[in-house]
Amino acid sequence: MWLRRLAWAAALTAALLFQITNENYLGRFLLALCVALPPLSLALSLPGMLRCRLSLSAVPAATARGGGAEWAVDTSVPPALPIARITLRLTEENLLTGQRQRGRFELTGVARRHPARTNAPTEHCGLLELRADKLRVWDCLGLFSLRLPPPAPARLLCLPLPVQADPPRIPEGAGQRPTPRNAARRGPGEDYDLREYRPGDPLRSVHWKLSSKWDQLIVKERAEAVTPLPLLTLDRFGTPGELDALLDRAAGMSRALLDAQQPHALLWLDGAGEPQLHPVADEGEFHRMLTALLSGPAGERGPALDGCPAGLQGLDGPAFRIHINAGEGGDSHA
Amino acid sequence: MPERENRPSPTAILGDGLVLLCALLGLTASFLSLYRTSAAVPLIPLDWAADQRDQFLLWAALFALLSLGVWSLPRLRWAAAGTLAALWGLALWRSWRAVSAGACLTAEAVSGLFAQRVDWGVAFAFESGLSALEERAAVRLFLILALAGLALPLGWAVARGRRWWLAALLTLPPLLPGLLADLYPSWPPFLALCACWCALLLSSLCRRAAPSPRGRLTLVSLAASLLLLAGISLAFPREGYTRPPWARQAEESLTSFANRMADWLPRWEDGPFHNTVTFVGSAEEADLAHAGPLSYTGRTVLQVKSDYEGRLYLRGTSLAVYEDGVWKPLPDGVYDGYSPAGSPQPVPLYFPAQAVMGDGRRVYTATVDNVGAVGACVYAPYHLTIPGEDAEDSGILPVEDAYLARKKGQWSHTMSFVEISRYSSFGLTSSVAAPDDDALIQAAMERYGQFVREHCLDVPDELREELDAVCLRIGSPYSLGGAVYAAEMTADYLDALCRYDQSAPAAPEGTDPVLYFLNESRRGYCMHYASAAVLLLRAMGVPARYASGFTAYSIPGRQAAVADRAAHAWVEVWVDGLGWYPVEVTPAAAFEQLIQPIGPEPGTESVPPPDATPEPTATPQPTQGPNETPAPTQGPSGPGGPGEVRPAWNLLPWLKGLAAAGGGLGLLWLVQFAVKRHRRVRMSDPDRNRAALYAYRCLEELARWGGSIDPQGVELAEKAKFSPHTLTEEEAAALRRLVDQERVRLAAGPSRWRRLLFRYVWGRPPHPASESPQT
Repeated sequence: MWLRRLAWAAALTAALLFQITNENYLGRFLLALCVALPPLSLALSLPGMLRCRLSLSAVPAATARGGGAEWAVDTSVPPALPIARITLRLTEENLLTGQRQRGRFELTGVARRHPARTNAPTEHCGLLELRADKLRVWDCLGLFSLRLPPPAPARLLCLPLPVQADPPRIPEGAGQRPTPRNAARRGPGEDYDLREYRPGDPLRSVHWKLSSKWDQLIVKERAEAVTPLPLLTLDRFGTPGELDALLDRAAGMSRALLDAQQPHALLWLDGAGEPQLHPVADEGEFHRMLTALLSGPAGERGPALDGCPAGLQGLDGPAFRIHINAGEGGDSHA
Repeated sequence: MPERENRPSPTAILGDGLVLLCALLGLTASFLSLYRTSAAVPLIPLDWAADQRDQFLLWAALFALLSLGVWSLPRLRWAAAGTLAALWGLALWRSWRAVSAGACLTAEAVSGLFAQRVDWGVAFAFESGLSALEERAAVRLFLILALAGLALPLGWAVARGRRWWLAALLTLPPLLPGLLADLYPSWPPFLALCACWCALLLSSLCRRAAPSPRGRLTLVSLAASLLLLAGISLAFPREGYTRPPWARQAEESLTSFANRMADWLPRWEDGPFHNTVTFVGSAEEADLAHAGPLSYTGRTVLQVKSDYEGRLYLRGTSLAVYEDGVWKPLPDGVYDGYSPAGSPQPVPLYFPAQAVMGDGRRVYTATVDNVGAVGACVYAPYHLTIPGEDAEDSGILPVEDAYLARKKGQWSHTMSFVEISRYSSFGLTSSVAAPDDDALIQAAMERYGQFVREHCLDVPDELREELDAVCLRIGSPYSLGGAVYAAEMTADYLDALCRYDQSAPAAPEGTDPVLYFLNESRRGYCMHYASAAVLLLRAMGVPARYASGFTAYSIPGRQAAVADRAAHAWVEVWVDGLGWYPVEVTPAAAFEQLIQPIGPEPGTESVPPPDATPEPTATPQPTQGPNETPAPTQGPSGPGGPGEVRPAWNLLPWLKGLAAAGGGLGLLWLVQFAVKRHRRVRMSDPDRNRAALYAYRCLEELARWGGSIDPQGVELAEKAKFSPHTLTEEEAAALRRLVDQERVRLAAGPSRWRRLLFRYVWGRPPHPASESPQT
């Protein structure tokens, strides 16, 4: 548009010089025309400029990595006259990898609902966000512009491509531990452990005979085999390519466990080193886990998850840790 | 395919149709009214055509509708346009003789009117050999075919291309000669034409909008433009228009500014006037050979204030060498003998004042402010006194005997001078000598007199014989009355022989301008009179040279505004014991045009000058002979020397250059258009395999520009080439998309010129948001 402004300034200067150096009427006529045309253009365009609105969206809202997806820039203008030009700056950002791309975007001859599409970069997994700023709407001659408020950003979830994986085999007895149970329900041949009474133990678990014999309260506790919870851990950092591979494996493993109806959980450290634990028991939780996994920023380097952090909120009971690696070396079990 | 491509809406057709009608009807009516003579009886065929205006308007409307119909077709537009073009060509071929005669008659009429109004216009003469009736028929046929030929591209520019500049380019040229010649067309049609340009300009950004909204915008823009133009015409009526004073003042200020800015431009280091003082923009030569008709702008170039009353001759430069019709200064080397190195010599320009200072003459002062005169010289009155101690601060540096150089950036100079009347000079020729008490000056004057006799008596050999013959007719006044008398007799002779004419054309090539002036044309202005007089005086044996500058009439206490029309040329003769003495040789009749108005107050408007015929009791000015006159100086030699007069500006080469440049640009555009169209057609080939292979070839071409070929593209191209199956629409679109992506990527390359070239070859890259996958 600066070119148009320069062209108009040049035309105005030429008309002025023509008026100054020329005796005839044409000089004045051209000068008056050059001066009056921009206000006329503004008068024709202003109603539409004031009522123009713009919105951003992603179509579809989620797609697999490498799949087709588009950003939609929808414009709504009054039905009377078209808007000559709308310019804005679009910023695409992958919230996972931090990759960012900026570009000027321009719409010309915008009438009523004017959908415009542009391809979304789905080369890498992550939550993609499209923001618009420097939004301006121009008059017919392209000389005057009006700044519009920026629309709400649009988001697109670029999902990993799950790798085919078999659900891990959890070794027997890996999670055996004593669990207080109602003595009335126990059956014959069950194993018990004895220990001292601790406040809070149900009275029914008190082994009265031994207590009287040993002169202290003894509690009987059944020793029961409990299936441990598969805990998928991953080091969520690396280059975009490494992250893609890692997420593909994590999603594949999680999907395999889910298909085997095995509740499990995923654990990773976010950018600040805080553990993020997401249990997955159904499709809804699986998607929530993926959204969380793809949203936060992941740098190329970050804190490695050496073991299961102690006192982890939300992890109740024994867990069988499976560490997901990006490489071909496979996953390590612990 | 988007709606806008193939199915123009009724609103769009209506809008485009009205614009097209405005353009063609406005052009037709404007053209016919523009070149119509005011004669009651038709003088030229165009007069008759103007009488038949309604008929031509009907034709124009018909062609406009036809063109609109063709370009509004949803399909086969180019085929229909080609058919019409072929029919048009056929009609042209069948009636070529009549059409060409009509074209020549029209050109003759237009150029004739143009030449009448503009000095530099060239009238095109054509002898058709047809009767008046046949001539009218020929002109009629030509105009109709011209309208038909114009309607087709104009229709494309309005209905399809929506290019306002193309519409202007097609419709303005027929009117341009008339507008340049200050002719006015009938105003309402011209307003309609302007409204068409404005409407297209206002809707140019929306040319890619859907047809209906675009049509609405076109209609509204057209109506608004018509209202605006009508409003402008009412607010600033054409009748009684005069250029506003601010425009005149602005013109003078701009000219003065531009002139002064020349001081800060790079210096002409090799110029003969190169010195410590800048010499910028002003040529050191007066080209008489190419001196054509004169024209003036009337702008002020000097402002003079003096306590002297009378006419002042403000000399810029004196030139002593005449070669091939050009006056030049003496070469630098010749001064070596006169002023040996290391010995400061008295300046010849101060000799006259030095010669008479002893007799108690009154000393006058003059302040000359250069506000727009070209040249690096100071325009100074004659008979200057030697500057005192503050000579350095005066900003004046004498350059040999030729001129006073101006210090860079200094535009106002105050000088002192004395008055030496013509009679005094006569006396000096016989008796007055340099003061006895100044032997140095006397010796220098004698030495310089010898120098002058050596260098200021030269006459080109080829002119000698003819000049001698003329001298015989004048007589030998020199032997009787001295140099000044001889000059006045020569002026009388020239006055009787020749006629003062500012519009005298330049001498033909190969002819000496002085001889042409004396023997053939006998028309000329100050340059011709002064040149002829100098050569005649030299032939008589009187040392003389050519001087140029300005004349002004000074009244004490008032500031004289010297306009460019006061530029002048005269003669300087050498008077022994006095020095160079100015003599006016241009007839008095011309002087009234040159006399300078004197402002009642500095900077204000002027008062009519006093009697234009100066008395022999001259001032420090040149002798004004009984037939004292003026005349502009300096030939049209562009950056001529001081005392510039703007000659008639020959626009023809510029117009030719502009036409050539426009033609070149048009050709480039046509080539680009054809290539783009070819590419678009090939890309959208109904045979998808063929279209895909073409897209792949485009990818290969793009690879030569630094692009890359995506493996998917190779795969699809191989499939299209070798597979028995036809590509799906999605696959073909994917290949086109790859081409578009490469174009977008390459169009944003780092090199600006490469980007420009790429955009020319491949066109503007498709917008990322574009829905159309086509190239």
